[in-house]
Amino acid sequence: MEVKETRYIKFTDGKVLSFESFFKENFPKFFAFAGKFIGDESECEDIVQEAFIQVWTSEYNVYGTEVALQAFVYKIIRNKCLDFLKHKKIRLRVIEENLREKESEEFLLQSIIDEETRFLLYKSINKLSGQCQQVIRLHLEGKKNQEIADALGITVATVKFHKSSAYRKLGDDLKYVLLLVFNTL
Amino acid sequence: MDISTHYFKIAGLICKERIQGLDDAEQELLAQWRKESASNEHAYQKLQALEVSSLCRRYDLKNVDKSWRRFMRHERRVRLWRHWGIAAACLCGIMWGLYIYESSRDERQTGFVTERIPKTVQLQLSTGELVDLERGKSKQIIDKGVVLHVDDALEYRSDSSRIVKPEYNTLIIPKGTFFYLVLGDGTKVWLNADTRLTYPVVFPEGKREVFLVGEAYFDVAKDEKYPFVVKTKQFDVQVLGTVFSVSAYEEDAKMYTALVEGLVAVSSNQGQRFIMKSGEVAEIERGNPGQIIVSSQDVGPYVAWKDGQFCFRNSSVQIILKQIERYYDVCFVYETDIVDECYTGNISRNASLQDVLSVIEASSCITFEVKRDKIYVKRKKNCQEYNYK
Repeated sequence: MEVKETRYIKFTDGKVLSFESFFKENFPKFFAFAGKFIGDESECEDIVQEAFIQVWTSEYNVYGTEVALQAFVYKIIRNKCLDFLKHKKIRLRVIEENLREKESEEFLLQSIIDEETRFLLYKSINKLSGQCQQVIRLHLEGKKNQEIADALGITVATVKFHKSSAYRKLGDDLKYVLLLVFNTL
Repeated sequence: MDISTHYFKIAGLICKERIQGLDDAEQELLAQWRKESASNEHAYQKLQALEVSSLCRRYDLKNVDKSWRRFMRHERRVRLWRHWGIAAACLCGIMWGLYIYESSRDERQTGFVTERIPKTVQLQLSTGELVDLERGKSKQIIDKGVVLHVDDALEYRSDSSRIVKPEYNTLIIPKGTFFYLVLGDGTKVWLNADTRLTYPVVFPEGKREVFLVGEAYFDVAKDEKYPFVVKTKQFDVQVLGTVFSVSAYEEDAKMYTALVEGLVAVSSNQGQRFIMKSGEVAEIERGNPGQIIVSSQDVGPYVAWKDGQFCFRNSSVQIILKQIERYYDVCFVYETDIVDECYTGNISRNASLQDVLSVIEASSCITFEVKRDKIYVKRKKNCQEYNYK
């Protein structure tokens, strides 16, 4: 018999999230992050699953902020990846330096920044649609307004219009992210 | 405050900067972080080089709903286990463990390759007894009065005052691993996967002889009085004091001796004999064992395995995959006749099997499919083939 239990995570800033949406929102990001340590994709999937299970089964379900919870999961994943690599090292004699670099705190933090930025960009772009999205994509590729206009067959004025409507749409989201992390200081 | 949440802020700033730009205060914060260390600056530059199109490939790949369903299956098992009483918990624990193991095994078999745990290296003593040599475990084995020390390698401490009838030991290296040992005379030997070496525990007066099936790299201790001879089924290699690699796998069509340094004499069991200088490779074809072909070559590819590399120079696909089979202990099945394309390249053996296969797929007309415990080799559709030189 299937009993569906909906679990919720409460954050100290009052935000409440269902576990399912936390999972679905963050899984691709955590999976890509694990990929920085381990090449084997099925192993990455397993590790991320285990990390979520660890969060689910912990008695503690009130976390500081969503960001704090994400940082926690990143750490769990990194530790599991290192365990896996160390175990593999014994079996296949992987060279020390490789592992040592990945064990460093620095590597963890750079990897989090790298992953988070990529994911934010990805989400931002996907929020936009049609020509607006195309404009922003080209802008992110480093193209100037005139080049974008030529590529899409529109006027520079239209390009500027799309940009400002994108900023309006995204600006609020990005501001929320920055506000959120500023508040955790 | 946790330093990692500080980094989420930086990620937000970098993202905003790329999309619409930052105001003065934000600009200042980001500049400060970049100045903090070289690795911060490096991380920043790496993100500037980020190509937007790669983002979709990175994240769209995951079928998140499928992962969520899998997660819910795990979660249900966890919950059920908790509901049962402690008395029943032990029994359940065992059954649950089995259940998880079984179903996770099924999941593993679809899609990606897993690497097997290598079987242990075994040593066969002169009595015929087989001893497992576990890596990292120190052991003392006594064979007919001679004490052997095992740490990460095997070293024979010979008591040279004893003149004994030669008692032989055999080292058996399974697929998926390799080994290093030091013989009684100080000769260093590196043994590759799928190899057997038979040698006397103490070298008797007059000669130093070992028997090889497989692949080994020898650094022979100098002893002009007693030449060192490596015997294989089809040919012998006689040395005075030198560094060379012998490849004599039974299933291979060709066998090689590659000389790194020194001087050796290769003789086939049909009487042909050749003296080799360093930088030369002697080749013997299984079908034609009487004939030895010696040529001047880059010996790199023949000895690269000892330093943890796969190294190919104009090698056919079959040869490359054979090496991979031995090192990772997997089995390839050819679904199509692969035309004789030749490849040149180096891959570190530290790479996971998945990585190695990816590299091969990316640079050739081949694609791999894993089914159960075999890997099927197929040709890519619409692929132009040409020789890499």
